[in-house]
Amino acid sequence: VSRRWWERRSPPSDDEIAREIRAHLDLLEEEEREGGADPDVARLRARERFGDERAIERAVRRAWSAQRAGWMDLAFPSLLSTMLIFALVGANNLRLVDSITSFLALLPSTLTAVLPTGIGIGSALAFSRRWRMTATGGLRSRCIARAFAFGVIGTVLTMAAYHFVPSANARYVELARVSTGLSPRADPDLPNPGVRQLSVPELLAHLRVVDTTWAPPVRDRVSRITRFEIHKRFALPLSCVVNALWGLACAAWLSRIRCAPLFAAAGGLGAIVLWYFVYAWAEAQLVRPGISASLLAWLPFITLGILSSLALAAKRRWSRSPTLAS
Amino acid sequence: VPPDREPLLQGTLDLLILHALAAGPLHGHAIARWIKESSSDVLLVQEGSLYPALHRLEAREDVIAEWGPSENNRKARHYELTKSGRRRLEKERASWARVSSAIDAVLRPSGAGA
Repeated sequence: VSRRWWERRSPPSDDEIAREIRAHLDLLEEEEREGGADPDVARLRARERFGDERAIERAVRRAWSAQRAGWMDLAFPSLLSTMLIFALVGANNLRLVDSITSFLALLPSTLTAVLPTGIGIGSALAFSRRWRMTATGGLRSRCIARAFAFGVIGTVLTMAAYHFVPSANARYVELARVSTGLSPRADPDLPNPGVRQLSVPELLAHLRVVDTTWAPPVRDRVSRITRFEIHKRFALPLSCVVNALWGLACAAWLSRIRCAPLFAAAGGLGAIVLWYFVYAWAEAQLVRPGISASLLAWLPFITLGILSSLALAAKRRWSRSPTLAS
Repeated sequence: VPPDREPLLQGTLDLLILHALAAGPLHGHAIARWIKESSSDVLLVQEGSLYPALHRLEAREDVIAEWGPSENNRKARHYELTKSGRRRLEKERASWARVSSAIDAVLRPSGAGA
């Protein structure tokens, strides 16, 4: 689905960009000829009026890649596939994962993506059998407490990975680019050993500079991106808690069917997909002023939190109902 | 920059493009001509510099583009405002009005620096 979504937003091909520029140059040339210039002079003047064709083609491609960076990070090539490779090869095969280009640059975000995923699936697996066996309310409360503890431990680990692992990814490099002086500039497509992610205090300082000295509309855009980034540093780790609750809700609802752990794990994975979709949508809204950037950063957390709580509450009510329970 | 012409202020190109497209679809060259003529030849836009801005707006879905014939029957890529583009235009207009009236207020002769 994310691939289809991406295709809908796909940029024009290099050939189409070149054709568009060629068409513009032809119009300029014709205008110059109509003004009395001979063909060679007309061609030269048209190029002079237009500017450096190659540089403009490159700038057009950059305009598209800057817009799609958020989707690329999330949708197909990088984060999701790295997560799946982690899940498939396990921690023993770290050398294989290490060979993925820029893996080390993606380490903090990979860890922050893997931990909530693991927590979600893990709690679904851990409790799917136990829920069926624990008929009494007291034991079920203990299940909920353990799932919550899972989430809290995951949050602490993710928070540590996200805030203290010195590394960088394309988004941070992009942020470093707009905040000249805070961090070295670098090419986001290459491993950047000298570039690090900006810490929360640095981001806050950057935000103050942007809000007080920059001019709109660039100020508004950069301010929203920075605000989103700051809130994300807390919202993403805390998603471990809601993922654990969602895993528990899956375990509760699916514990009575055959192959319960398998279905519960699939439900846990489904939550991650939902989380990423809401996150991708929220990030895409950053370029459209309207919804607050802070709220957008917390939106996946809020959505999954509400769904998990509703699912658990509904299960509780359903279990208590005398007609249905019998 | 020729003495009687002014370069565009940073960040104003998107607003000018959106405003040019508010009346209907235009191709890149027609947008450049519109900016030049509407500003009585004061605002200077190098025509190629429109394209990164046009494609950025297209990537944000503020405009859509389609190939079609130009006024002299050549093929050109025509840009048209979308709903979100119209909303953005309103926002940017309001933001520009606020900024320009603030600068006017600062530069007014009765100000402290006068």
